Amino acid sequence: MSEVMLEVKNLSKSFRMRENRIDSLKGSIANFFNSTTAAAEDFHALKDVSFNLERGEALGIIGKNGAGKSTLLRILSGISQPDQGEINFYGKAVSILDIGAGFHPELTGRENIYLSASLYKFTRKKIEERFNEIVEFSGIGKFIEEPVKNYSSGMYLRLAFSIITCLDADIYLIDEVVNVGDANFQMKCKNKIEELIAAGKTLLIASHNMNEISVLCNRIILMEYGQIIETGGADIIQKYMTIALPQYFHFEEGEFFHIKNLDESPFEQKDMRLLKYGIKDYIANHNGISTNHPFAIYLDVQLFEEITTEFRLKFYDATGALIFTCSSARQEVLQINRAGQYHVEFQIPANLLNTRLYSVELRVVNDDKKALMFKADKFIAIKMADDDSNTETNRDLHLQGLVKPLVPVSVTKL
Amino acid sequence: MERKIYKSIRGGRQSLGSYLKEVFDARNLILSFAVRDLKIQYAQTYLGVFWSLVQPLTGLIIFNFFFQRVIPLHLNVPYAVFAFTGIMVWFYFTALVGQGGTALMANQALIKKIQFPRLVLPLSKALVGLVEFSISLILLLVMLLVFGVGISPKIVFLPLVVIANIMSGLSIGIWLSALTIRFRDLHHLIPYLIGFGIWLTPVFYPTTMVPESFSWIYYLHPVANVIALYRWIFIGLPINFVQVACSFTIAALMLISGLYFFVRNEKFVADYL
Repeated sequence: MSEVMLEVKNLSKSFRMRENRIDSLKGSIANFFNSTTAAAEDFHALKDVSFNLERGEALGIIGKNGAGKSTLLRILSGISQPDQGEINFYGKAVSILDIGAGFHPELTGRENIYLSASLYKFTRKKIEERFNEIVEFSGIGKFIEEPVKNYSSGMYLRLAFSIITCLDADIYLIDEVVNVGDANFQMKCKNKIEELIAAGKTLLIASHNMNEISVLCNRIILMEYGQIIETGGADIIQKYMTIALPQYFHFEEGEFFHIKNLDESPFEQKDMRLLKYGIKDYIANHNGISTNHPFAIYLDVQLFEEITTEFRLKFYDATGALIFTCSSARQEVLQINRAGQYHVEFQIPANLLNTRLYSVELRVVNDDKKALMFKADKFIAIKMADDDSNTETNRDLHLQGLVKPLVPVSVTKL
Repeated sequence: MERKIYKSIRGGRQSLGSYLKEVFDARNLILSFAVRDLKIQYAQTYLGVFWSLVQPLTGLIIFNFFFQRVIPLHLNVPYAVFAFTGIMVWFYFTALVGQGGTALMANQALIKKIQFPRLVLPLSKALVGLVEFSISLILLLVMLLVFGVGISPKIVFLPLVVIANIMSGLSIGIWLSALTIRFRDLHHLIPYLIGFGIWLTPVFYPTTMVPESFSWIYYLHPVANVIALYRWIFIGLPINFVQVACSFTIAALMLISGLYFFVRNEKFVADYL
């Protein structure tokens, strides 16, 4: 049975704009005598935000800078006061807006553990119980009696993170803190967070790291202009990218791809000319280009010189992670090395791409000189979607990932 | 089934009573901050917390030179004991006003990241000051014995006077700490308040030297009366209890109004920093 751990009802918060704020005696006195001063213009950081968080849920909050994520977290943490609305916690919450916020460099690791823990409202007894666990997880060892100013930045972060996660709470409010430290420490943080989720803790994470959000969170809230504009699963991330990068991922009504006009490209075409290019043989369903069918990206080019030319397509996901590169020189195909016109076709197999937004970069390389002849970033943006009949099954299966190849599976009864 | 709400956040004002309970629950934190500040100031020094005596002792030497050699003041008690009583109270008062008044500004980073009752910050500063004050108090007791003044049984009133001392200092410190967030100008005003305040306060001169026509000041001046109380306890100087009552009423009103003002503004502190 679902059990609500956090209730947020109709939360609103506005800030007075800096120019209109009375920050000095002069302003205050001036304001006092001049009652005709125009009403200050307010900036609505949060507008009527409501949501519930249930036990065991990991809720991700995404949105552009200034969408209201941090304001929301600050209000949930009690640092800032809402203008309107109500928040009810049905369990102990800790908020981690900054790692090591309560640390003082002159104090030893041990002293900082006690200070931080009392800042997070844990009793001395509780800290003593968990002290060894904290020290062990942080891996600080004998340096625990040294002032933290002598710590390396990695040690500092490890200790700070250990304190927070080793203290028991029911609800964790986290703002972008997993992206600190080296790879090993990030891994440790991520594992710890997964452990918390597995232990039935409730999490709320605001982050710009879409990969992290999609891996950790089972529900995502998308915020824009201080409001929740959509709630859902990992597919919300794709929606977010169309808001965050409208210049690339904004499609015409009923269209699921966008092809850039390369004549406007700042990169000059050397010794060659692109005549025609585009996507063909695709099948579109209601939500995008079908992932269940192959399609092709083609280029018609005119080559002016005798140059061995290679064409490359680089596939990126919406957040900018490179997924794979395909090249015309990799396979035994017709060598493009004489002047003339060529038709190059890249056939993207069915069941390779996942239900995501992708962008494709084109590179034309002079293979003799190993020099770049032409380059176009995000020359194709494309939205992939499963055929409707399959959507439900995929959601149930949680086929997460940058690609979704149909890996042959065999099952035999023993 | 109604479930227990662990914590609720709503817009609107918090009552002073529930706020003070929150502060009481955070008493651990007051102690932690005070210990932190003392460690940072005095750890790794040879004299440790005795460094806090340097300033009052320097003051004592200067006053003693001026008012015994340059412009001799004639009192029927040893001047050094008389002056040091005033100096130690004055330094504690300046700590309560100066440190307490800037406590929120000095901890901006913390305030923006972690929620706790902000009153904890000026209170922990008061505690740090109390430790330093206690060292001075011990020195005073030694001086009383060395100068043959002895220790009067009135010392049983000492705890009450110390509480009055803290309250009168905090009444200003709390007002200032809440006000400096909104009005940064006050930050620059605090050193002046402290620098000139010493002339209005009978630290190094007895009130008997002040012309009768100005003595009304002491009905409004809690710190002057705190000093008078210490001198009444330790060196048996006469005291005007009407002045004490009158000025402490003012201090109490300042403190209560200061707390109200602080609680009203505390929720917006993070927005203004």
